[in-house]
Amino acid sequence: MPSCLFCDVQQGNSPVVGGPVYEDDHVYAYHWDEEGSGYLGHLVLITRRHAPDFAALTPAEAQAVGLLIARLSSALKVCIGVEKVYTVFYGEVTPHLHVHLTARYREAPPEYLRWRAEDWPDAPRGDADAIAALCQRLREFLAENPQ
Amino acid sequence: MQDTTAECPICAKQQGEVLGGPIYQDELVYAHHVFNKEGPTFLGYVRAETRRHVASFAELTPHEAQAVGLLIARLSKAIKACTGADHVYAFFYGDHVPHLHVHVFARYPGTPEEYWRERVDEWSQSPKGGAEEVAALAQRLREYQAKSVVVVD
Repeated sequence: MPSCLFCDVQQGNSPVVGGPVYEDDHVYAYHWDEEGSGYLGHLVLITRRHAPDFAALTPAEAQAVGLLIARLSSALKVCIGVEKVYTVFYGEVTPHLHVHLTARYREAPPEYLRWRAEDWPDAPRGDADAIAALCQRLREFLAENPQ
Repeated sequence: MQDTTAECPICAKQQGEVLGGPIYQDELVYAHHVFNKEGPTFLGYVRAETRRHVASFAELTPHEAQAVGLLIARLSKAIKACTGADHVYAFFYGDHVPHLHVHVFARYPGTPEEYWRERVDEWSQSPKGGAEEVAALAQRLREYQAKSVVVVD
């Protein structure tokens, strides 16, 4: 099988800044900074198994994805005080299920809605240390709020 | 948090009639095919919603969150099986109506890349229909759901 970015991430072959925010038997989440924008509050949720999309999930995997979207959304709202968390599945490039969760800050102007949230020039951004610190806060929140 | 509100169009719709009828419903979640009253409707665009009037994923109970995840997966599978779509998107924004609804919609083979994502319905060759076609597709999706009932631990 050709190399898959999301399989590589989980196997440690493609290290991610801040390490995993969450992992269990079905799902895995980490902070996304693929483009190096440093935008704080963009997580990606992936399945453990190399399954291309929602249609290919087992019922248990689908439930685990739904539950983790909710927990990560809650964690982002509490830990960085954002207004909302956009949640999208595109699945156009890498055929391994990955859901993007992008925080929208209260102060963001209306022209930076949805997929433009990250383009807001004044959005909170940080370096690897700042992303790692946020990941640590998210991990602590999830541990303190088990399901 | 109230279970329903008088002002919410999603609460009202779930308690009333929707063209083609619900594709799926149980005590936690609800799904239906979107119908455009103003003109032709893009075929293969459904919404997955919670029964309870909650704004976003962050406010869901664990059971609701699991049910929404399972519903997105089942709708994606049904859309692929019933429409010939080769890809199914799932988007949650929550910018307008504060009642959780996930847009689950088809992308058809041959859709040019400039029409991917939110613009799939703008492609002139994308399948569209009127009330009759939407109701017929809703029926096929409902039947597919019914015969693919899943048992979860």
